[in-house]
Amino acid sequence: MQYVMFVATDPEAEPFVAAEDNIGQWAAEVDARGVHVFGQRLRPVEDATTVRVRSGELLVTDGPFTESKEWIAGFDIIDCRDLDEAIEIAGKHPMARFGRIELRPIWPFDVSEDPVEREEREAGDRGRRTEPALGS
Amino acid sequence: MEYLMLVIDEDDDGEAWEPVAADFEAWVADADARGVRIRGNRLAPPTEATVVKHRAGDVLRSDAPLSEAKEWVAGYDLLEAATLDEAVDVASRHPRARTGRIELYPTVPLDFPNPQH
Repeated sequence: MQYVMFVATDPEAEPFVAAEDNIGQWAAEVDARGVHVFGQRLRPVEDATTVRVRSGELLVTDGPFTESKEWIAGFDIIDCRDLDEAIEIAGKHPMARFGRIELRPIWPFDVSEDPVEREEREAGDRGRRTEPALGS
Repeated sequence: MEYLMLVIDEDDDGEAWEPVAADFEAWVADADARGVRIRGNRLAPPTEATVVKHRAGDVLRSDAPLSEAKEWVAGYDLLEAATLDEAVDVASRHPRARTGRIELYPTVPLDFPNPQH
């Protein structure tokens, strides 16, 4: 199972302590286990660019579109046995402590499939959790 | 320049979603042909999201994203573009630029000279 880990800030988390940032150790562990596909830190959110097309016109604005105290500081793509292993890996990331991690399973699709047929076929999967839920 | 491109499914002022008009195949083919798209994928709906926090020594999980936003990140692509303008041009052709929006985040590689830090 591939998951995208969005590494996010969280105003309610404990303040970042650089001396306790063990990201190098985390990276070495996930590489050694062979579960890490790719990852990167992102520039601060002020450097984001939002792109929209409205009535055929291109609108480009600086920064993210929505004002938020939380932003995505980085991302990783991990390939795990199951959600439990993904949670274990995410929980060890230093930003689980100084922020929070959001795990999103990837949902591959065949771009050459007819989009209307795909929408109909997948309608039942929307709004329903197939990942193990809390307490299950 | 490398950019993480987040595909946001819809916006209040965006066009209504019409699956028949969403030509992802053409977008992927064009971005790949230009050599700008490194990788990308769709993400499962937010009901499948899991939030992980480490608080006071405990790993806590919750099932849904914590943010209350109506909209969500429906997919990502990683772009390698010569300039921001090129990344914007590729992003603007994505079908979700009309129904939602595309956010581009420049990446900044981390160096790990010492595995301890």
